[in-house]
This record gives sequence, C-alpha cells and structure tokens, in this order.
Amino acid sequence: MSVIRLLVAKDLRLEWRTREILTTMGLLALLLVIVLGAVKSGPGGAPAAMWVTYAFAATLGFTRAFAIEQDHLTGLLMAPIDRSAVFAAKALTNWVGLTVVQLFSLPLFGALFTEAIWGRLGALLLPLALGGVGLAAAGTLFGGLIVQARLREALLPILMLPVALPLVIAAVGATAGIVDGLPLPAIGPQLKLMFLFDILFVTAGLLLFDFVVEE
Amino acid sequence: MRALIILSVALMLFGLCWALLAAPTELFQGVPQRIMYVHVPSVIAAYTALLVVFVASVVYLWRRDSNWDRVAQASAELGVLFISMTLASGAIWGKPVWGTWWTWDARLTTTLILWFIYVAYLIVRAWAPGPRGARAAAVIGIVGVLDIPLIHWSALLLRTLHPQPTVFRAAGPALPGSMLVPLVIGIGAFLAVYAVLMVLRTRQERTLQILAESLEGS
Amino acid sequence: MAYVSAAYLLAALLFLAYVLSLRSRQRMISDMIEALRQREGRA
Repeated sequence: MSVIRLLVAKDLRLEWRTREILTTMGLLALLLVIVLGAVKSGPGGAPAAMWVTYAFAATLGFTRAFAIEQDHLTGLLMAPIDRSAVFAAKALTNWVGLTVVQLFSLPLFGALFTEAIWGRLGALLLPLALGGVGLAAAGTLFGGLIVQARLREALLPILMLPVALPLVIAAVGATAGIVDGLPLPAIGPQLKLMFLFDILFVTAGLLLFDFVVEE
Repeated sequence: MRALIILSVALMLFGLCWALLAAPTELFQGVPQRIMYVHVPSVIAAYTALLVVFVASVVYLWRRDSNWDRVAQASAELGVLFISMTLASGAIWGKPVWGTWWTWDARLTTTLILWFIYVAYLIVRAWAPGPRGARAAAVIGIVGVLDIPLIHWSALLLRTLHPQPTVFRAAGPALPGSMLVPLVIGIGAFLAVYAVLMVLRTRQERTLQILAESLEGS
Repeated sequence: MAYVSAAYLLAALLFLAYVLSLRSRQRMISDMIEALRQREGRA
C-alpha cells in the first residue's frame, strides 16, 4: 500500500512540475466542450457531450502517462515492487487527472448545455466517479500494452473506445437520468453496469499487467 | 489436410445448392429469408473464432508457447472475416424484411463493437511485433471476450432508452426440418472452412517465423 | 432475389479476398526461401 502511495506521489509531483498531461487533457476537454456546444447545445445533448469529452480527453492523457515514463520504465520495473502495484499507482494517477478535468469542465456543461446540472451536483458525482475509474483502469491497461508500439497516440483511442463503449453508454444513460431529475433507483442498471465494468478492468489490470510490461 | 479442403469445399457447394434451390421459400419473408443460410453459419463461425482467440490467448500467456500465439492470431483474422460477413449479410437481410439496413438492437450492436475490438487487435499485432506485441494482443483477446456480456447489456440499456420503431420478428417457431437441414449443412461447411483456413494460416506463420530465425542466424 | 444474390456475392467476395491474401503471403514465403537458397549456394 505504501508503495502505491509512493508511486502516486512521484507521478503527481512530476505532473505538478511539468503540468504536461493536465494542460493537454484540459485544453482538449475545453475545446471539445466548446465544439460540441457550438454544434448542438441544449439540455438533451449534455450527457452525450460530457462523456464524449471525457473519453477523448482520457485517451489523450493516458498515452502521455506512460510516455513520460519511457526512459525510466525499465528502472521502475526493475525495482523490487509488485507489478500490480505499478498498475494500481498508474491507474490512480490517471484517475486523479481525469477527475480534475471532469470537475473543471462541469461548470462549462452547466453554462453551455443545461442549468439542471447545478441542482444535482451531488448525485452526478456518482456516475462521474464510476465512469472515471473505469476509463482510468481500461486506459491504463491498454496504455501499458502499447507503450512500445509504433503510433501509440493513434492506437490507444482505436483500442480503448470500443472496449469502453459499454461504460460510456451506461454513463450517458445514468447522467441523462440524473439531469432529468430521475431518482437514483431508476438508473440502477446503468450504475450496476458501470460498477461491473470497473471491477472487471481493475481486476484484469491487476492480474494481466505483469504480462503486459514484461521484457 | 487435402481431404479436409475437399470436404469443406464440397460441403460449401452442396449447402449452397440446397439453400438456393431445394430449401422452401419462407411464407412471410419470401426469398430474402434465404440469406439466413449465410448469416447464421457466419455468426456461429465468428463466435467460435473469438472463443478460440480467448482460449489460445490464455494458454499462450500461461505456457509461453508461440504455437498458441499463432493460433490466436489466425483465429482473430478469421473472426474479423466472419464478423464482416455477418454484418454485411445481416444488413442486406434487414433491408427487405425490417425496412432498414441497421438498427441498434443488442445483438447487432454487440457484433459491430466486436468487429472494432478485433480490428484493433489486428492493428496492434501489425504495429507491435515480437513477443511483446504478442502478449499485448493476448491481453486484448482475453479482455475483448470478457467484455462481450457488458457490451450486450449496455446495448439492451440503449434500446430501453431509445425504443426502436422497427418491428422485430418475435422468436418464431423452431425451424421446420426442410430449412434446418440445409442450415446445419451450412454451419458445418463454414466451420470446416474455418478449420481449413486456420491450419493454412498457422502453418504460414510458422514458416515465416522459421524463416525469420534462419535469416537472423545467417 | 437481388438482396439474396448481393448477400451471397458479398460473402463469396470476402472469402476470395482472404484466400488471395493467403496466396500472396505464400508467394512471399516462397520468394524468401528461394533467396535463402541462392545465398546459401553462393556461400
């Protein structure tokens, strides 16, 4: 556990000094919100625009997350740490980054799409967190897979988006339900699906990451 | 091997003739229903291929035997081939019967997403060569199959949120024997062709690897 | 009838494309083997 905390602290400190990932991810998210809002604003479009933005921002940010390790990755892997700890730490850092982007862009969705977001901020945190964890877990697993492939910036979206599509569909459904003012039990199936997706990909990451990064 | 090739081609031609000439025309759908004899066998072959990818990937990660990796690769290529066939024949069948080429039904959506996942699998194989790429592909092959129930479920949710106006044929009565027999022959033919192409393709990869090794050695 | 023939034709074309790619790869393999043989003959 302390190993994971150490690794996360290292990644966050690195990010704090360079602010590479957050800047690119945040700018892309901002841009997507503006573009989607200009093309089609209105309350109905908010949930879909939200999750398209998050999914694309995630694919951009997560490719960078391993790219910054490139020179040190062997060092990190040679350190006497469990590989699943490396996965957990990377996924956690990615999740933190994505959450920051999510929270910063929420007001924009409120301003450009629908005011209803303000009234239900608390309930919205649930799908945001569940979706964020799923995107971070799947993105970290696949980002690790292709870290040494050619054209990895192009590869991650084509790999991750279809696999994460059930999560995105459920997240859009859950968000739409909350924005429309439905009670939480009404979006139970969507939340359950997201939860299952999270469990599946966190487990798969912890178990399979060992094979992924092995030399 | 030669016998298997002859058998698969013969079965294919035999099934084709039966499906087009001998099988009865369905009462409600008419002639387009004959697409079933391509559609259903290709779906079954596709999912068989994906199952083989899953099993071969697990065994490869476990045993580190590159034979299994080649099996997974060949099967994934054939899986994409059969899924493409399924999607194409399904769309062509849907147009005259449902009145639309495409609908976001659970099974259609799942098949489409699987096509994307396994195309990505093949792209990873092409862009990340070597044992590292093979392991990456194995992980995708495993995760892709585990993802199937979730994709199916999410597509069901999609449909409850956006009800489709298209009329879906309720699961009709079991097929009469006059249609079931040619269908079974078709399924057998597709699976035989799958087996033949699997053997040919894995052999090729094996030869390629031996060649690459001997080129490196010299 | 047009739909049926379109579906069967498309399936046949997909099979054909796969078999053709199989054949072209086979040709590449035999070329490689031929090149190897020649190199060994010279050495």
